Amino acid sequence: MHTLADLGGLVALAGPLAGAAMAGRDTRTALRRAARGAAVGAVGAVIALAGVAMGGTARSALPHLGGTGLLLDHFTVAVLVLVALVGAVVLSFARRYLQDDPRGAVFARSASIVVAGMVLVTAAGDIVLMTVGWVLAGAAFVVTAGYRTDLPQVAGARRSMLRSFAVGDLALVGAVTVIVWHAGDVNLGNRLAASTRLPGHLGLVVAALVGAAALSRCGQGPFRTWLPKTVAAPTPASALLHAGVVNGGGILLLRLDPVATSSLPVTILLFAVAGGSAVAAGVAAGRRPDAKGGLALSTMAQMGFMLAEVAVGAPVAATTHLIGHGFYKASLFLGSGARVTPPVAGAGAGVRRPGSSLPAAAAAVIASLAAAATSAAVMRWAGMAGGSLVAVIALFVAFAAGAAAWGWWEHRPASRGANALAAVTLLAGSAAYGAVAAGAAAWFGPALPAGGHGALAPGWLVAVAVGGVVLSALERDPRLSRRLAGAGLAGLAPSGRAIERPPLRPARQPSGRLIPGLAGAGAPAGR
Amino acid sequence: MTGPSRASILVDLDEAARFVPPMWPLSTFVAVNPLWDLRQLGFDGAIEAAGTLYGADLLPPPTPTGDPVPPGRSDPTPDGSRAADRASAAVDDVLTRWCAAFVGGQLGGGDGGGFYAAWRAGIGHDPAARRLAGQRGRAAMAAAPADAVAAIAVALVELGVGDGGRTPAFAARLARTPGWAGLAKWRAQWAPPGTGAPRLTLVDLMAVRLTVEAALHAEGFGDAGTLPPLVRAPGGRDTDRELQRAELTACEDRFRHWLLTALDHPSDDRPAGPPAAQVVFCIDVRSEGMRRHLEAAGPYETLGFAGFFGLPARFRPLGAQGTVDLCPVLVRPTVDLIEVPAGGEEAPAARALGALAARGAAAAAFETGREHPVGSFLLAELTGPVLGAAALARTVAPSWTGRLRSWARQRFTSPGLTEVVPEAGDRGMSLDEQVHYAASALSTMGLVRGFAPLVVLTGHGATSANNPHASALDCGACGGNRGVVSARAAAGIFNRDEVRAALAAQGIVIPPSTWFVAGEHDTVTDRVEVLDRHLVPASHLAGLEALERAIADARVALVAERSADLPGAAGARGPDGVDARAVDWAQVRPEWGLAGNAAIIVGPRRMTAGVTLGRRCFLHSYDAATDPDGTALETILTAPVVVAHWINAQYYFSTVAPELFGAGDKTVHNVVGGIGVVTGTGGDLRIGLPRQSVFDGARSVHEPLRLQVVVEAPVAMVDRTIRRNPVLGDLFDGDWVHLVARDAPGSPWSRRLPGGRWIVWERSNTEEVGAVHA
Repeated sequence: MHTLADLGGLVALAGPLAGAAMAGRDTRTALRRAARGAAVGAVGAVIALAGVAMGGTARSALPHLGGTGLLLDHFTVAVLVLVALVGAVVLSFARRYLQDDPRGAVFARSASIVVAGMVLVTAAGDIVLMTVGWVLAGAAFVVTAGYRTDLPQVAGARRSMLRSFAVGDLALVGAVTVIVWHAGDVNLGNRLAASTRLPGHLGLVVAALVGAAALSRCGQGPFRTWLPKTVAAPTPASALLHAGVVNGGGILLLRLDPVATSSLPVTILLFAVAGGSAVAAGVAAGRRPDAKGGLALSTMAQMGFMLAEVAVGAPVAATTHLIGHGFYKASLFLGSGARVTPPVAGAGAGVRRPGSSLPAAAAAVIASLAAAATSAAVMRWAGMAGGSLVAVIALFVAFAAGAAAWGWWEHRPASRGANALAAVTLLAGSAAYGAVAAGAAAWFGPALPAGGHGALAPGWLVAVAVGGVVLSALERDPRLSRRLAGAGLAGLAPSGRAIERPPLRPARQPSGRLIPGLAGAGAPAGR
Repeated sequence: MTGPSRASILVDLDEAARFVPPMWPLSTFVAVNPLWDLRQLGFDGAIEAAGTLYGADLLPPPTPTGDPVPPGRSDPTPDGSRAADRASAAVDDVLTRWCAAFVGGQLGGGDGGGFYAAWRAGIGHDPAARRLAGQRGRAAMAAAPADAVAAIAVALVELGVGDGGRTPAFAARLARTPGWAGLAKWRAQWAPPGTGAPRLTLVDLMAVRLTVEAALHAEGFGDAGTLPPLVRAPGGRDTDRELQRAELTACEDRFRHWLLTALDHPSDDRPAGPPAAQVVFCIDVRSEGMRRHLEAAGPYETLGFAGFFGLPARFRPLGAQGTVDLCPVLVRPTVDLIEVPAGGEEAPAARALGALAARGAAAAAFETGREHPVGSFLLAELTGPVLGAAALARTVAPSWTGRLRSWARQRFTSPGLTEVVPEAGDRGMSLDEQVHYAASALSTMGLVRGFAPLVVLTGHGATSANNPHASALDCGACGGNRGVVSARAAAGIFNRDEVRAALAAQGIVIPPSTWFVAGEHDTVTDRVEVLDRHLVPASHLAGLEALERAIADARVALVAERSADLPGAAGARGPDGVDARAVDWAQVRPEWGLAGNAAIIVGPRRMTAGVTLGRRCFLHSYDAATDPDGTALETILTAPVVVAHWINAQYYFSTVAPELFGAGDKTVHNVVGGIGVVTGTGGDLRIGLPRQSVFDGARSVHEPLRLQVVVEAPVAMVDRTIRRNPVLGDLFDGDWVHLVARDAPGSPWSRRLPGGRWIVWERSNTEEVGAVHA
């Protein structure tokens, strides 16, 4: 079904582009057309998925562009479906949500171009087209998040984004230039096999540049300021970002494997930065009082985890994380208006049972062991290779199951049946996850190599888990917690205004004028 | 220099807090007149004082050619397009971040110390504070006195604020963050006793702010952050002000002219003969449309009564731990109500509660997993596809998804048949109390004879999804909650044989063939649902079904009328129709709510029957003939009219100052601590109504004018009532609301001027304008 996949891919690209082109100036018309364009694109992506599932890898060529085109293999088509669906959902949501926005047409156009750009990043057949998509998506996203110039914090967010994206884009362009110039082969279909011809030091430079580009797009480490600031933009823009744009970093590394992980020092640095983000942002996310700020920091942590998975040579795990997280975050962002505490507690509001936490802890431990064992067993039984990878995945499953079980236990219902059902659901979920992981390995495996020369071992991910546990435990100490509160309040989290400015000059003297009407305005007796 | 005394600081702070609008938590949004505590200054005086303090123009802008209101005109954005110092802004930043962290529960330490203590413990580690004030400045902040009032005193001395300047200094600072200050003021003055942590207080707020300012001052930043320039709004010269006042008055005169002219020609094409049912709606303006269409659809009479049906109650839902107050916030609840399973229905109720508990546990499990730094990674992968599929379904097919959810709710968590009854014991209602309540409710409405076989008490609520301001659409008379509970309890009381017997002894004879039923009007979909059907005797079911059919017919007409104003709703079906708007999580405007409200009419229905009031008027039933001593009139004037004024003022100020007293653009709202919203990444808590509630794009849908009170009662009685009640005196003499009254249907209308003089209202040459709703 090559033609089906080709057709689907081209529609996935053309749909959003048409939506952007035909948008027009009127807000409601523009949003409607952009939503339709993105919906068409999503249908195209699903068709492409079907085509690839039935017929294998497809390479569509655009005759007038010198033979470049889209490459649709198992990996790229799956991520394409994510990007296109997220784009369709966000633009459809925005059609009602931004109906009053005076500049909603700008959003419609730029968001469509973001989707088109990400389609290129995901499915471009050669490295130059991919870079074009990368820069296009970044630039269009700066417009998407920055078009509301009437809002006070948007200007600062835009500046931050431009700085980080500029550095990242330059790095990527540099890396691509070196690859094209030196190795000559631009076709991504053969996994840049020719790039192994790069001499050692050049390989390190290229890996470092690509790593920098990925870190900038994912908002990690030195590029961490722009991501939390994007909360200043309307909700659909945030949803598009967190589910569609930040993935770009991971997609880049995965598509440029083995180049991206070819150099051990770079990979170690990448792991350190990404893993550190995963831990620090993960802890800081719980310290945000606002719903969207917590979600933004959570994305930073999740992207860090994903990049760490790439660095340790677990590309399949990184892919499932990328796709799963994209849907997860889009849904949470779009629904972030519902986080208002109801006036009455109880009867479905999940009242916490009083008492010691020991039984909850015990339940968590039991649940985590059971879930880990179940998922590991299923993964082994399904034939998934890589014992250490299976063990690491099982470890993280254990943490997820344990945390969920703790929460359930503390609010557990009285009915034994419900609790039994919960336990069964937990085990079934772990088994299902094991099956999904194994299935993903089978589906993505051929399309993704196991990692370049410089990749670390999956066991390194345990450091992320350990770091998270240690930092959460340290947080319980009041003094350290206050320190972290200070950092969480101002370090990783943006302030309401830009206060990173030159020192304040002394202000003028107060006038001390009385406010008219205050004197004698029913002053209380005795004053 | 000796510092100011503790008492004087507290007194001055309370005085300064009069400029701050109280802000209720979002779950029980209460529309309030932001300048309520300045009402003694009169409308003009309060506008002047608050306008100067906040640097905003609080009168509707002059529109010589009737052009649409330009957005954002002349009211300050929170971030200062005005000439405030960057220093002030930086101090605001420190304060608002810490407020948000405290209210969000991030500062730990339980509720022991309060905001100031928690801030003081943590400020020493805040990198932003060090960037602002340097290492020494930050250390000085952390070394401030442990007692908040002492810290205020010390800081005032440092800043050189003398005795006379204290109140203006406090007021200017509170005006920088009216949202957080409003929350603190709510907590101190309006929150029901027993409201839980966190407890943000005005004293703590001021202590934090002044300590930061004093530290900056000591570091040589001059008077950074002291009084913002007390300038008038841009273009606010006196002549402009006069023009705006004149235009507002002219606008109100035109409206009054239109209204009174319409009332003078009611088309009384109501069917003769007794009504088949009487339906009592809330006074809410949205009921006016339903009442009009229902009366046209069949032999039905409608009445208006405040949505809590005169029963100030504290309600405990089935199986819940807490209670919610279902009455106007000016009134304290006196009765405890509880929802219990109907006889023989304990099993389904227990099952439903079990399902609800399981759902709550699942939500808690998800939240705990989501917040765990390590557990969240794989939880996202696991739940991602499920959540994504749900998001896709909700966005692309909201109606279908909504139907699926209601089916699931009905199937699993619906508690079966329940009743709402007063609690047992002394917090409930004794028989005497029930009789007293029933008598006063019926007399206030004027429904003391001529009962129809069915009397439906209809509360109202609004269903919307993913809407932080959902409560703003609910019943204001029920404290920002749905009104169905009060209706159920009241119907139960009216149906009791013992109560009816006692009422008969007092002269109010309810025939045995009359049955009271409770219902709820969902103002988004305009569906009216009858509740507690199991309590309705078989003899009345046919009449009930006929009524429901008529309501369905009325609904069709009303939805068509409303859809003409709702952007995109004219298609009826699909994602923009009213049914979809109730369940669409992307819908930023489920309905227009009370936009356009302009008047409250107190009198019998024959005054307004058949008149198309465009859903702009509150309607309260009142019959002077049944109220010889004026107690009902007094009840109506002191409670529902004040609630209507608050709603009207809330809409007024959210329209003329959408960035100051309104919540601004909803699409960038960010829920903080579950109780309020900020714009984007942080800053002040937003108060009032979002732009989408009063504006359609740049055009203001709500016409900002002061409430017009129209009363059909002896003018002398009205006058006496006003003189007897200081609150009414403040309102009417202060020109906050306008009042016209007439003794009887044929009499001329008399207008009460501020000060108490009554003049006859005459139809002058003001041009008539049609009912403008949108």
